[in-house]
Amino acid sequence: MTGRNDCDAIGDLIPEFLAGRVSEADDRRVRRHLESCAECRSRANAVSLLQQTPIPRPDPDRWDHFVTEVVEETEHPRRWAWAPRGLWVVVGAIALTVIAVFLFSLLTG
Amino acid sequence: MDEAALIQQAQQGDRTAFGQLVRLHRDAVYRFAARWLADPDLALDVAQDVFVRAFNGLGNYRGDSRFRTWLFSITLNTARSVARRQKRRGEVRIDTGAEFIASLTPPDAKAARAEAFARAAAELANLPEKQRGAVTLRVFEGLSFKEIGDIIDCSEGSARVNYHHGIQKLREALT
Repeated sequence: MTGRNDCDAIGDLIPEFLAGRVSEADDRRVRRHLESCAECRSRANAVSLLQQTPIPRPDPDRWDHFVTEVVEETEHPRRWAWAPRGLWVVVGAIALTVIAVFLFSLLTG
Repeated sequence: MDEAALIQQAQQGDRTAFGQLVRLHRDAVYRFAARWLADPDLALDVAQDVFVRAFNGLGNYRGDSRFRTWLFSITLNTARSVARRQKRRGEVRIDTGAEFIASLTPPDAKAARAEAFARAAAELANLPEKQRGAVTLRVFEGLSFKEIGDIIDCSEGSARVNYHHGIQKLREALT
């Protein structure tokens, strides 16, 4: 029998089933259900595809120093870490403008 | 030293013990953030931020849930605010990791698999936040619906519904 409740119960087990982490009894139950229910087979295929999707790898250099950097940051929090990156662009642009105006005024006497 | 002892020492300010905890959980926190955000650089920033926040909030961890579940809650909150900030700025990047299959499979199969993985990652990233959280935590981390509910801030039943709705949407999009 493949009622709605049965499909939901099997659906709960699909990730563990695909990862081989269910009991023998549940394994048989899921297999039996999937043989007779096309919709659940299709859901199981979607879950399987997701499980096989590779995780984007982090920058290896940053990853190697990850623990050290975290621990250092707990010791010395970056005071301006909250500021959005765009703010630094604006601050930089203002600083460059001030320097340019200063140099221009020096050159033109 | 077991995890409970490390947590206790870290709560007393022992950074070496905290470093061990970071080592134990960084893969899972990064993995969750990377799946949820679909951006490895951003996920790394988030993971780093998660552990700094965790260290500062260790006093609030009472051991009612698994330490990893607690870290996942912080990860989801941090990833969510980063994603919203990005969305406001119009910067959205989806990195599926598909390029890393390059050396593993022959060219034709490689391209087809890369495309399937890219679609799966993109569809996952398109799910509403709660569904994405429920699917990610269930499919990749094997968490119970009770734990997922604690993390995405809803009941166990609602976590289950979010999971099934998310899977249903993915099934429709991917088949």
